[in-house]
Amino acid sequence: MIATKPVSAHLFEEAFQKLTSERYFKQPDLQTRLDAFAHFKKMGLPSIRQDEWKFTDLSRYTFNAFTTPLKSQVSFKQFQPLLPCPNSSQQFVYYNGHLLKSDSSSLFSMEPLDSQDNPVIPCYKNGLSALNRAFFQDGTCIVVPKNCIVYEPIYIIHIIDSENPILVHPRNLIRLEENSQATLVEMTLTLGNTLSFANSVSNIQLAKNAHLQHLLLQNPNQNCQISQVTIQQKEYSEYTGTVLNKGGVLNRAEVQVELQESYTKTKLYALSLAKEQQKIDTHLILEHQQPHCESETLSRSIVRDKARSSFTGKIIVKEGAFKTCASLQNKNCLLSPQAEANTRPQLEIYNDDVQCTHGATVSHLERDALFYLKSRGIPEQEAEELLINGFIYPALQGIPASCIDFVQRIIHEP
Amino acid sequence: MTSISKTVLEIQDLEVSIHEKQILKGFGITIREGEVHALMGPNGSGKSTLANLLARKEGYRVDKGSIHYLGQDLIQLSPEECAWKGLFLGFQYPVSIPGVTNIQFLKSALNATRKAQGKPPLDAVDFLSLVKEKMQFLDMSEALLYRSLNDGFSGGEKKRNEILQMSLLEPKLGVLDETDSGLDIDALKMVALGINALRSPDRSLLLITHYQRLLDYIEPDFVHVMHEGKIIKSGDKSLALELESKGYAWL
Repeated sequence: MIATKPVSAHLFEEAFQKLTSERYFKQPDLQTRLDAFAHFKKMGLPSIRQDEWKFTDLSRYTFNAFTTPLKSQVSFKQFQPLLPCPNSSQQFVYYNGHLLKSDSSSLFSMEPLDSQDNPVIPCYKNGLSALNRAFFQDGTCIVVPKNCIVYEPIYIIHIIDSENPILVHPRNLIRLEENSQATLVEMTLTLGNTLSFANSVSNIQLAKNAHLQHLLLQNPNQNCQISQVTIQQKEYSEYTGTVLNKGGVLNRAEVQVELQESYTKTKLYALSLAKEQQKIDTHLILEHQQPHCESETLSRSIVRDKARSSFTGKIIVKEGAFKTCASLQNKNCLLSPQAEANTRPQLEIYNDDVQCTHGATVSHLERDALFYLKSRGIPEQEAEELLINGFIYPALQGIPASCIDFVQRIIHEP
Repeated sequence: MTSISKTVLEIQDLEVSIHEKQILKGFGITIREGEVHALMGPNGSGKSTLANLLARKEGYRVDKGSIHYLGQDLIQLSPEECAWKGLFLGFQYPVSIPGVTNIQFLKSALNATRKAQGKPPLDAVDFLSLVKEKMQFLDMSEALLYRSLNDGFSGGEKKRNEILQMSLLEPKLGVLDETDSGLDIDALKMVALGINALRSPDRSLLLITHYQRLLDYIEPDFVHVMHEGKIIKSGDKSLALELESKGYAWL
């Protein structure tokens, strides 16, 4: 890796001083924050010279313009109608990084994140994750106890709303204990039009035979969002995740699944919708560490106007992970001559006796299919919509049934 | 006035090329209301070009001649306008579209056409009972409604699905491009039954086919033989039988 010059670090020095003087942090949390910040200063922000960050250019943003928001006096009721499930008892709602409404279901336990996540969340992966650890305000820590099945989705919603550009660091730790099952929806609602930045880090741990259905919604409108999610699976656990990236002047989602023990199943879906000058960058990494694990990764993107969608998908099969079964597929549909798609499906296999496939395509809407629909009286625009829906359909298979309506709404709203 | 029925399609001296290659070379035909015409001819004679052109597929250049559909210049219409005005093309190779269910497609097609014709859309219940009734008549499995459009359909299922669309859209002129190709004898009978059921005094049909066998089940009023881009012989149904025994070389 190329060492980057930590030019951006000093910008945050003052903000960090301010944060630690304004808010009291207990030990060992404070020490971890200090360590994380020191680490950030060493690493700086990721640069496009690093291969993984080639398509996410952070240097265009003047980070000194961003402030870390203070807790504000707003009521939950005010925002309730905007939520996908306004009356859910299982929701954690944050306003500019500060907890606004906590879960009231008591089906699962919540613990203060500061005492829990050290050192479990790998916070030093890059400058942004270190920054998140140093700066995060209120985080979510959910533990679904052994043998417990939570039927309704658990929502973690970050509302970002400010007159000034702000930098918010959502941070979540979700742990499913043995034989438990849950559905998790993580989303960010960006309300303001001022350029704000959400830098989110989540860690999901699935114990033996735990099942999780996960939906990550990134819909930052004219703002920036970067999410880094790590999922760690123990034996017989099953994870089905969907990442929906829509819009954003800069929108990046990175999901890394570590199959740490045998007989796990993973299904990972991603859908990117980019228009105008938007830039979306999706990274899906599947790391098969042990034998007999299955994973399926499928991604679709629709790119309009002058937008760009980038995809990096990587299957890593570690030494000894025999009988691995993994597939990776990425398809891109360009709807304008200036639209751009970059796709990098990658396989890294250090082992024999595995079954891995990967493939990627970049195409336009099929003329013959369009003609067929039009010849049946379907107007051009509606015919295009039908074809687009057909194209993205496979990427929507992993969405929890209770969420499909509002996801469709988000997909189709202009 | 009443003795001569209305002209639905009138093509005169039509010359059409694709990729600078001339396909239709002085083609002409007149189809009146309620008539069934069969257009026969060997491979490469320009039959499918004519069919696609009538549905306004892009890529064809009209060099000479005219096509009038219900008195209107067809070349000025878009594919969807043709459909709204009651022109239906049954495709030789219906396109499969993964991810778009058949029912979604049929409903969009019917309601878009109804809207353009100034009729109210059918709601889900009315639509479903209508489509189920038509499917039953064509001996189609209801499961086909919920599968992706033509995706993984057998040859027979695809062609039946075309006839199903025609029966839903109730066109004035149905152009069926080799609807009989790739069908076994039972499927052929079923498709022919569906087509016959759609015959009516105010609906015209143009059947494009290689073989006489479809005409055993659907009796045409006129038979035309096409060769090298134009009609070289026209007659009644006995012409088709003559062709069957003597082959195209005889002409």
